[in-house]
Amino acid sequence: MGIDRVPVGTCTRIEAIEDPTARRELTRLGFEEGADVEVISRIPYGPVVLQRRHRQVAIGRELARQVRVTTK
Amino acid sequence: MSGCHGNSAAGGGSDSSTVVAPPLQEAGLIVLAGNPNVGKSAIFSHLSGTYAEVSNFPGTTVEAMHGKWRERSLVDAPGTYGLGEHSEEERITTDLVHRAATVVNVVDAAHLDRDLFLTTQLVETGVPVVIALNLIDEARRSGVEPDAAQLERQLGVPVVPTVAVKGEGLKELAAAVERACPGTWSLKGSDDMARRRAADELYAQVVPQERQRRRFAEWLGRASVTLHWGIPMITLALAGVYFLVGVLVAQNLVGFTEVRMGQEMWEPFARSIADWVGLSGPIREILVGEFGLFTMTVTYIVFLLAPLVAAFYFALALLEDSGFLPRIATLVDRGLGVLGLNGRAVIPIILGFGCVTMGTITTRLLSTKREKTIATALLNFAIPCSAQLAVIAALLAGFGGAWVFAYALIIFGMLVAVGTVLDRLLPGKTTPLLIELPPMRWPRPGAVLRKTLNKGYWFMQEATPWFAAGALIVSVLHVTGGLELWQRGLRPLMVGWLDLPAETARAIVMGLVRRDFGAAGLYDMGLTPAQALVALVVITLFVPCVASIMVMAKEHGARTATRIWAGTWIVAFAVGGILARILTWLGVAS
Repeated sequence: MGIDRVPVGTCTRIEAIEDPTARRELTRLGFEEGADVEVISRIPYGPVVLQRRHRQVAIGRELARQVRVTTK
Repeated sequence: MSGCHGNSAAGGGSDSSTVVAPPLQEAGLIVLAGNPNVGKSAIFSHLSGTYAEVSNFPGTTVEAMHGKWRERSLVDAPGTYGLGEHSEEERITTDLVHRAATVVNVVDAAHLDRDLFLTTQLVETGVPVVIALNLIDEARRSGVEPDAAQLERQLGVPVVPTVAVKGEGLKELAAAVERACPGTWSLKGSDDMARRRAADELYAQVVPQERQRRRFAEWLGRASVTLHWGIPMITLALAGVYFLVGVLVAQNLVGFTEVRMGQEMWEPFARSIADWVGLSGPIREILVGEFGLFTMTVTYIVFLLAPLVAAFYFALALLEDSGFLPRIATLVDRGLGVLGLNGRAVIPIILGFGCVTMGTITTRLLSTKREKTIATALLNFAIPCSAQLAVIAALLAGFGGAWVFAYALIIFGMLVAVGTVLDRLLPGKTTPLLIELPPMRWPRPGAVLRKTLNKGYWFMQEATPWFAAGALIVSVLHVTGGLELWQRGLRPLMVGWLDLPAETARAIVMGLVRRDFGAAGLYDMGLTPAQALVALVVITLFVPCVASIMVMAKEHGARTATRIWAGTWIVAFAVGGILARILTWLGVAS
């Protein structure tokens, strides 16, 4: 499923990032495919905020749908 | 410290971003490269003695800054997370790196895992590299101080710990630049994924220890991007900005400086000097008359604009340096989506409230032409700058809160209308938000002060010549009778359509040069509340400053600039006329 559906406070592993531009950007930022991240906020109809190793990144809802995850 | 190891290790990877430096090197060129928001600009300022933006927001250096250091050219490249061809910043930085004789790679010591991606790419280009391990104090406090010696061994380039904003370690950095050498690192894999893994491994070797938990900062970083904490925080922050700029400075301080110091002390003084020199006639009028170069211009720039603009930039510096801006961008992303923009656009819009020209320049950090066009149009149609706002607030506040509210509502409505229409008209889709959120931190007083002064100075430098030119034009028109002619020409429009006194045409002339100038021109006309509202709405929606138009033409081409300029005439007068009709119909226009 997309990371937009992961509940806040849940740790999850990024399996695939479908959008190539986002994949490039997120890999550079350290949120690559295979990374374990925590969902720390979901603005209603808005962005999802992810955290890994004390660093945070916000991604728009549309994009979050394309970040596929498996929950652990 | 490491010695040089020759140039054998250059170009380990095969992807486009790590090609061996082409032979178009510039002798002596030093390039500062690094991720956004790591302190490159602070190091640049220290080394070159030239000012560059320092902030806690990614992407403030959108154009390479040029300076000199010990007779060598020094360039501050735009911040990027990697080399390549994928964005404007990447292209500029990659090109600069390949032309460099030495690259100073500035990294955030507290977030080295991210930064090492670019670092490994830089070392692989074969260009001599020095690493500035910046923000080392923050890394120490978090318990993640990198092992500099280990990093040197791994990469084969000098590594110097620094705290750029305090000037710490910069002498050592300067010495290291002289002995920079190509690194020994090379990556076996070639794609981004392999590089990410290699960077993570390198990080584990350099920073083996666990990060200390800093509970409050961590809570704040998380809470500020949730709705129930974030919205109150934004509201509080914006209320604080309004109180500082709109109440304390715009009303109390400026009331004193403009009237007491400007009109009662400076202007009589300037006139007495003119009389003493024996000036008379048109020359006297132009220099020290009603719109005089040494009277109105000085009062307006020094005693009205300067305190306001400084207060605004001070507030903005606090928002920027605390790491709050990208969080605001996250919270408003959904709302801006309606206007065809993503959350990132909040930056140019907020900056635009300071100075529309500056906001227009910052639209560069938006990723598509579509978004740049929408943001530029919004800024130039419907965002009043701080100078203009102050005049407007002062004028309307006298009539009571309802008039201020009506004004705000109309302008906000226009903002939404212009954005929605452009979103429908322009082809393409809004790019989704993807933004790194820097850690929340206390702004450093020195950095905030320096930024306030420098930005304020930039604004003054930008505004003064245009302002003086505007005053000169109006004075000359006044002396030659041209102003009369113009007023008569615009009479049908001003009196017939907008229900305003004929003299308001004078404000329109001034508004052609600068909008805030136009608003100021309405000040002493004795307008009724309804007339003031109509006039201010027209002036707000009216043509942007000459400076803004020039920036627009430079950034988006003369055609877009001309269209927006012409569009503002139509929109301003159409909305103003309709508003005048509505007010008459409501029975409040008398």
